[in-house]
Amino acid sequence: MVILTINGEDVEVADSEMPLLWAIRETAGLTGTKFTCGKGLCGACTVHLDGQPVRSCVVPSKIAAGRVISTIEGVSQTRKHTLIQRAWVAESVPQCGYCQSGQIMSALAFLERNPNPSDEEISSNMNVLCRCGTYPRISAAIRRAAHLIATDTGTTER
Amino acid sequence: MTTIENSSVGRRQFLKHSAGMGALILTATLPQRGMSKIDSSASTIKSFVILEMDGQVTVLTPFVEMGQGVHTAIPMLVAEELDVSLDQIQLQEAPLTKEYRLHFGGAMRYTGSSLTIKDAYIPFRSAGAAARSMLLESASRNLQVPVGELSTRNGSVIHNPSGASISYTELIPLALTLPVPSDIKLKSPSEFTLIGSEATRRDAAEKSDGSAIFGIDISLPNLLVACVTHSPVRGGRVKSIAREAAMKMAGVVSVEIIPDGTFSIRDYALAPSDLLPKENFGTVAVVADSYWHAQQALAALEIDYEGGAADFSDERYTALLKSRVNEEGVVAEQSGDFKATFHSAHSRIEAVYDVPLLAHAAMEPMNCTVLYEKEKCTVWTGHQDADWIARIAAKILAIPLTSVTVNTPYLGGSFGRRSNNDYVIQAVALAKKFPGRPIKLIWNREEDFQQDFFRPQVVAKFEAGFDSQRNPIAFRQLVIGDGGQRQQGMAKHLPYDPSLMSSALNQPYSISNKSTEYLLEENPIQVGFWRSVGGAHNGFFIESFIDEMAHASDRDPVAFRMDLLAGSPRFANVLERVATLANWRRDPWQDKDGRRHALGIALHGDHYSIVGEIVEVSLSPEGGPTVHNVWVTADCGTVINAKIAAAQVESAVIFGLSAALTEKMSIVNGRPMSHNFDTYTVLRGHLAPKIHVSFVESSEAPTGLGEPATPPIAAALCNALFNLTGKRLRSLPVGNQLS
Repeated sequence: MVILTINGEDVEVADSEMPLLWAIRETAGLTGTKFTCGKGLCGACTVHLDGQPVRSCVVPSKIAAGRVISTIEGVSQTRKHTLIQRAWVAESVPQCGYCQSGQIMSALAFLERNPNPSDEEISSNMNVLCRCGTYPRISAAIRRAAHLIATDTGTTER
Repeated sequence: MTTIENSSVGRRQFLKHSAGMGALILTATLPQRGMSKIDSSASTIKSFVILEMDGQVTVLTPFVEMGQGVHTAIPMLVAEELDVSLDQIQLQEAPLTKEYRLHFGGAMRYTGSSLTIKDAYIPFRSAGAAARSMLLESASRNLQVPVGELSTRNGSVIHNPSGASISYTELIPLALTLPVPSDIKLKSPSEFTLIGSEATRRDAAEKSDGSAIFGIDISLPNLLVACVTHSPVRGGRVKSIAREAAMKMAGVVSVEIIPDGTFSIRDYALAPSDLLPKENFGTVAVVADSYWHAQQALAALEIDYEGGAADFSDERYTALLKSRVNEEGVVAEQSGDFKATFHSAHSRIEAVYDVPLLAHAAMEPMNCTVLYEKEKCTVWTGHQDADWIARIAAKILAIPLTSVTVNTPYLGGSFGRRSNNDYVIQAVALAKKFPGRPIKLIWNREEDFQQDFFRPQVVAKFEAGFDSQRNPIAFRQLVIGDGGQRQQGMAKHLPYDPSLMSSALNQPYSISNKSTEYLLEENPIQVGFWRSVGGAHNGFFIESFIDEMAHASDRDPVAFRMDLLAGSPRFANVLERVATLANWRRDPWQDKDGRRHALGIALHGDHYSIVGEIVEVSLSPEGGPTVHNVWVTADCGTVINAKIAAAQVESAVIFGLSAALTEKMSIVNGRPMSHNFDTYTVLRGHLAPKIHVSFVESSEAPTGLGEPATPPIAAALCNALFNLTGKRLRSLPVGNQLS
C-alpha cells in the first residue's frame, strides 16, 4: 500500500506496483489522463511528477509516492493552463480530443523549460502521438500560448 | 448535384408534437434531395428541434462526435436558419427511432462515409426555419403587424418600422398554439451569417482541460472491469484453459470464454433478430475490480488455442493477388471498347500496384460499458450507429429493442474502426453473466491491434493505350482483393464489393475506352473500413498510374490531367487552383536547405467531393523522404465551418501520409506482427509537413469532407518522389524503398 498525493489530495493505493495511470484513473477517479498504449510509447497519459512530464502508464505507483503528482485536472486550476487552453481553443486544436490532455501536460512542461520556443524546438520536443493529426495546430497553439503567457497581466478572468 | 441557392421546398410538411412541459418539437418530413443514385429509393427524412419555454433550443442529433466536428456543425445549421446564437443551442443524443435514420433513404442512422453534413444540411436547416417561421407568426399576432414588417436576429423578432424587439422566449407560448407552416423558405447562401464562418468548436474547451468524457471514462457505482485476450492466430478458438492461478489473484471475479463478435454487422446489425449467430469463441475475459487486476490475471492464464487462419501470411496473399493480374474481372464500369482499342493502340503501358493491410489505431482503445438489469440494458460506448448497438444488445440478451438504451460519449477516434462492434458483443455477453452489475470492457493496445479490421490488402493492374500523338485512348483498372462490405454480408446481391471499388468508379478523366473491373480473392483475415475506404487504395493506384501515363506521353502531369478534364469543370478548377497555390513546377530544384526538392500532384473524387493535392518532398542523406509542404484545394460544396473543415483536411492528409510513409500490418502464420506503436510506426509531430488548405467557394450543396483528402496524398507523395528520383514506387509503404 502506498499513499499518493495527486493534485494535493492524498489517495491510498492498495497495490504499489499498479501503474500511476490506473491509480489516477480508477483509484482517484480522475479520468482526464488517458490510457492508450500502456508502454510509454504515445504520451497520452502524460502527467507531472515534481513538475516533470512522465508517462504515467509505465510509472509504478511506489515510484510516485511522496512526490508531487499533477494531472490535467490539477493544472487546469492554474493561470498558465487557462492561457494554454485559450490558445488551444483559438487554434481549434482538438479533434477527437483523446490525446489532448497529454499534449497539454507536455506543452505546459515544455513552455516552463522554454518560454519562447522556435518552431523546430516545438516539433522536436512535443512527442505525444495524435492520430487525428492535430500536429500543425498544436505547434500554432504553443506559439500562441507562449505569447499569451509572456504578455499576460494576470488580471483578466478565465 | 443539387443547387440549394434560393431553395424553397414547397412540398415539405411539418408535423408538430407537444413534448413534455410546453416545448415545441418540429419534425420535418422532407423530400430527399441531392442524393446519389444508390440513395434514390429515399422518400423522407426528418429532423428535430425543440424550443423550450425558457427559450432554450435543443437539437436532437443521431450523429456521434469522433473529432470531425459534427457536434458544432449540426447546431450551426439550426442556429443559422433560426437566427439564434450558437451558444443558445443545446445538443442531445436522439432516441433510437426511425426518423433519425437520415442515410440511404431513411434506412440507416450512421455516422460515417463522410455523409453527415451532406445528408443533414437540408433537414436540420429546415427544422430551424420552420421554428423561425412560427415565431414570426407569433410576433405578428402579438404586435398586430404583418409578418412582412418583421425580421429575426439573435433570438429575437424585430419590428422593422418601429425597431421594437421581442425575444423568442416571450413568443414561444403563442407559437405553440399555431399550425406548422406548410411552405418554408430557406435562407439563400448570401444571407448566411453562421454557415461558412469560423465559429469556435463547441467541444474545444472541454477537450483541453480533461473534462470531456469518452467511453473509457464511464464510471458507475459497483463497476466491474473486464480485460480480454484474443487468439494470437486470427480466428482461432480456445481449446483449453487453466484458470486456477488467475482466479486466486487479487480482485479477480471471474474468467470467461466469450465470443469474438467478429461479424457484428452481418450477424447482428443486418440479420433478422431471431437468427442466432454461430460465434467463434477465441476470446478470454478476466472480470475484476480494476483494470490493473484484470491485466495481471490475464498474464497468469494458460490458454491453448486451435484453428484459425494459421496458413495465412500477408506476403503469400499479395503473391496470390499478383498471380491473378492477367485475369478478367467483373466489369464495374465501362465505356467504349477497351480491348479493341488497347490492342490496336500505337503504344501501351501497364503496371501493377499493391497496398498492405493497415491498422486504424484510434487513440482510445476499444471499450464498452454495459449494465443489464431487470430485463433492460444500458450501453455506454463509442460506435458509429446506435441502432446497431441496440440490435446487438437485444439479440444477445433476448430482450426487445425498446429495452435497450444507448449512450454515446465522445469517441477517441474511429477512422472507421468503430463501425465494427465486436467489442460491444463481448461486453454485452459478459454483462449477461453479471445482471445488475455494470461492467466495463477495456481492450489494451495489443488487443486493439490484434483484432483490428484492417484496411484491405489490394492489388491493381493498370493498362493504358495511346494513339500516335501520345493521347490516351484506352484505360483499364483491375482491382483484386477482398473488402469489408463483402465479408460482413453487405455486398451479397451486388456484382462487386463497393468498399473495394468505391472511388475507382466515377473518376473524371475522359478517355473514350475504359474498363474498371473487380476480382474477388477471399481473405480469411477480417478487413474493414479505413478512412476513405476504397479511396484509400484507389486514390493511390489511379493517380499514380495517371502520372505514369503523363510521363509516358512526355507531358507535364498537371497539363496532361487538365486535357482529360474538359467534361469535368469542377475537377479542372480544383486542379488549376492547387497548381497555382503550390506554384507548380514539373522539374526538381535545388532548395536553400542544400537538398533537391520536387513536387508531385494528385487529384481525386471521393465521397462526393473533389480534392487536389501537391506534395513537396526531398530526400534525407539516408534516402528517407522528407515531406516539407502539402497544398490542398478541396471542392466540397458549401463549407459549414471553415476552421473545422480545414482541420479535417489536415487530419485526412496526415492520416494518409502516415500510412504512405511507414504503416504496414504484416501477418505471419495468421498472427498480426505489430502489437503497439513501437512495431507499428505512425507519423509523429516532428515529421508533419506544413499543410496549406483552400476551399473552392461554392454555394452547391455540401458533400463529404472527413475522408476525401486522404486518397490523393499517397499518390501525390510517390509522384513527387518519382519527379525527384526517377523511381516509380508501386507498393506502399514507401518505407526504405529509396534508401
